[in-house]
Amino acid sequence: MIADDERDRALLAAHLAGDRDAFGRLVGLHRDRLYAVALRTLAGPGGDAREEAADAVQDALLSAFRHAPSFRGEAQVSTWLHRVVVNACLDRLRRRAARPTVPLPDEEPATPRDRLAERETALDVQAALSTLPDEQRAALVLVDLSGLPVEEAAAVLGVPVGTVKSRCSRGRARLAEQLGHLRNRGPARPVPPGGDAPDPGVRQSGGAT
Amino acid sequence: MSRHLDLDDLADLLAGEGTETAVRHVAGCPGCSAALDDLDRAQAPVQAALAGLPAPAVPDDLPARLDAALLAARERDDLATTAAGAHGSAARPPTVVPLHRVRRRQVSPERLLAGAAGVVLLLVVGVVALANTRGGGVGTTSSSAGSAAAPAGPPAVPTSSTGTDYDSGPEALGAALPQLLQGSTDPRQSITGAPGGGADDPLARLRDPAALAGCLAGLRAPAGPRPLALDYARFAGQPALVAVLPAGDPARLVVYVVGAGCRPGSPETLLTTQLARPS
Repeated sequence: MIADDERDRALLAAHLAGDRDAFGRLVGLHRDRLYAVALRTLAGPGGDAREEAADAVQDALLSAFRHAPSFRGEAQVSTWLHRVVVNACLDRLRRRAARPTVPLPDEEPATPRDRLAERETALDVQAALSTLPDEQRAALVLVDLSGLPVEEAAAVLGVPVGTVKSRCSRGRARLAEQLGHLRNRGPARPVPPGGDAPDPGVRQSGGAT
Repeated sequence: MSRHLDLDDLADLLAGEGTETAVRHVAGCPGCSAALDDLDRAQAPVQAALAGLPAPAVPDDLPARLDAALLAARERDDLATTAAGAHGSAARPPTVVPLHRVRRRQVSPERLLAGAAGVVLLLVVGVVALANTRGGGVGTTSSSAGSAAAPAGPPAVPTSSTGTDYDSGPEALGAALPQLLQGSTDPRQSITGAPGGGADDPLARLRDPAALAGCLAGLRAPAGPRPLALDYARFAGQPALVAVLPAGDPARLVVYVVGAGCRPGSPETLLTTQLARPS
């Protein structure tokens, strides 16, 4: 990790010093991981987010290119790149939420029910992820899918560590429920799907369907 | 007893972020305590399920697309640097220093204003010089008023949204060319802010500067990807972007008509033609 960051900083420094290939090489090292983050963060119940994820990664990396001179080195280069990508995705999710949309018809997967257990789980998990509130999904994508330490995820999202822990935990709880891992809900009323009342200012793109 | 804990409350408790009320409640409520235990047991299978998600396949065109976009951005930067260098300033592109970075003790408001005016003048002169180096009198609009408020960006490209269907191809394009090269002098219609782009605009994607840059770079035009004019229009009944670019021959222009999905590796070229540059 530390060796990787030294490599990244060297490339960034080379870019700022005028090396015309350096930023492209930096992008090449992080592109696939950043695309995965964008795709999982943007995936909504409407379906295929591949094109949107590619657009978001492109927007984000161009923004990073333009703002490279102002990167102060207070975080790892990787954290900085993740932050730009995640913010680009959250911006798109907010715009998506603000646009009135015609709800898409429910799409059943075309494959028959007697498929491999691993594939079934993956599709179910992806579908369940896409119904989470955006902020919970973004936190889980960083921590559980990208393997970022909670502190780094907090730096990417620009929120306190406790908030990241809460969002991840709430997201996992909803996944546990949707994937059928919870037998005992306790005596309380169930939380409405997509609702996230105590987290202020969150607009949901998943909807309560 | 306080109210029972919902799933969010239980999740917060598990993460060590529960409220004092929640902590006290679960200590005295067997039902909620059992629910918390159940949630705790569900952590491992959920994290295993998440860890089991395969890494998504990166689209084949993504590397090329990113390369093209970075190339376009670098060329814009080179352009700005060249414009500044042509007038003897330092090799940095002209930028307006944000006021909060200026030490107010040492710079009087009058000097600031003079400095800002000088930068604006430099931008205007740079843009005009650029237009003149393209072989005479092409009416590039100056967006100095707009760009003075931001780091140096590309000179404004005359951009129209005529919606014209250039059905007869080169004839129709040739007839429209002088008007397109004039474009609109309204800075709100510069390359960074063309109108339209609403949810039902089929060309909305190509109004985004990054997507536009990727599309133009992917055309591999003979004299570079910087457009002289754009028109968000139609061709043979479908939405199409008309992009007027310099040709190798300074007396001519090359016009591409592309579909809404134009991107590196998939330019969706509907028509390409070379036309005489209007005098």
